[in-house]
This record gives sequence, structure tokens and C-alpha cells, in this order.
Amino acid sequence: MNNLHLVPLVFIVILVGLLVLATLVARRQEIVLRVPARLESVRLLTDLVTDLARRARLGEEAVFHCQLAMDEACTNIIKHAYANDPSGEIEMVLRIGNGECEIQLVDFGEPYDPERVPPPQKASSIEDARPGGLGLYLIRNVMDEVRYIPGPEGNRLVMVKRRTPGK
Amino acid sequence: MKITVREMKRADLLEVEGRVDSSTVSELDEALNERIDQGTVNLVVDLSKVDYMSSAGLRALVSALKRVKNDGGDLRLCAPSERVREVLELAGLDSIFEIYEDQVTAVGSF
Repeated sequence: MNNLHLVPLVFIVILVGLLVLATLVARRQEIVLRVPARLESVRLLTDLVTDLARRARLGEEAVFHCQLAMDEACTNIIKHAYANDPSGEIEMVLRIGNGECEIQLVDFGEPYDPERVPPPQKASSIEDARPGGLGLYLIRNVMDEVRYIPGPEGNRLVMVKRRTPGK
Repeated sequence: MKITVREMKRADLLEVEGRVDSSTVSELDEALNERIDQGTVNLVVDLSKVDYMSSAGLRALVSALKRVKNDGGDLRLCAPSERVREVLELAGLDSIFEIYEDQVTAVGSF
């Protein structure tokens, strides 16, 4: 039996499949990475989120905010959750697409209650300027959603940034 | 990160270039403390070529500002980029630093 007439149909089905796949990939990209909890890793993760957020056309302001949040959150994990112990690890789940960037950072160190970290007071003089707790304060200010879920299988910080049109 | 120090008549000028974050901030800390240890109390930090600064950089600047203020001097900033200025403002630290548009005005303010 001659099935030659089916060739264009198969070709079209494959083409449509590839287009659907490409669209899905373009809409939502997920990257999971586990890195040592060291300062050298922070640059790797901030560069990655900057590059992907820029490719997803999140807007330059939102890209900068994702970069800053990633930097501050990783630095907090290294300094506070692991107390600079270089054997610790950070697991990052990065989901980008549909005008949104979701960063999840999981650490396996000491949990903390972000609600108990007081925001730094607006400094009116040099005596008032106490830069402690600044990292978390900046994260809360630049991201649209921030959630912290401590647990026996790791402490998960979830940060979401949405596209800022025209910025 | 690259830091160039220029000794001027009224103040020492530190031109900072690149990223100031937790992995590079020790260089800025060292440069600032070295000037202060040598007796300089008036400092200008040019941030025009700093494309990124995290809270680590802010801590270094505040710490140096406190030291020079104790000795009767000041640390003034010049030409921060839009992003660096945003971080200063978000942290509420823009009011404790005198910020100038360029080097000449910043150094001349002493």
C-alpha cells in the first residue's frame, strides 16, 4: 500500500508539535541548580537570573530587582543560615515566563523567622544608620511576592517578580 | 572591581568601577579603611562607573562614613547611576550621604 500521501500530513503534525513545544519553552522556562553556599556562587546565580529575565523581556527595572533579590537572598543564606560554613548548599529553582520570574531558594541550614527581622529604620542621621537586616528589607521592597517556608526538607524562600511595562 | 585613588587638596577621591557586591566589597572596604588609617577624613567616592551595588556596598560606605564623621570629616558620593541611587533610596540611606552630580562639585564641596 502506498502511504506516500501521508508524508505531508506527518510532516505537518511534527511541525505543529515542534511549534507547540517551542511556544511552551518560550512561555515558561524552569532551571534547577544546586550550588555550594559560597560567595563565588552568588555571581553565577545573579548572572543567570539577569540573563534569563532579560531574554524573557521582563523589563530592565524588573531584571535589576530580580538580580538584587537573588544576590541579597543568597548572601543571607551563606552568612546566616550556614554561618559561612562552606560545606552548605543552595538549591535554586528558577521559573521564568509569562511576564513573571519566580525564584525559589532552598537551604538546609538554620531556619529563621523573617517576620522577626525588624525593618531598618529610615535613617535621618548617621547615628540612626544601622545597615543590619538590609538584605531582607531590600528583597521585600523590590519583589512582588516573598514567602518563607521553613521545613525539615529545607527552608524555602519564594520570591516572585512580575513584568513592569515600559520600565 | 577597580578602585583608583586620587589625592586632592581638599579630599581624597576614590573612583570605583564595576560591581560592588558581597564577593567584591572587601576591596572597597580595604581602600576606604586604608585612606582613613592614613589620616584622611574627607573622602569623595565616585560611583559613576558602578553598574551594580548590593547592601554589602552600602554597609561599607556607611561604616566608612561613621569613621570619618567621628574624626570630624565626611564621606560624600558623586554621580551614582539610577540603579545605585535606587538602592540608596530603598535602604533609606540617601538622606545621610551628601550626593553630588560630578567630581568637581563633590570635591569642591569640602
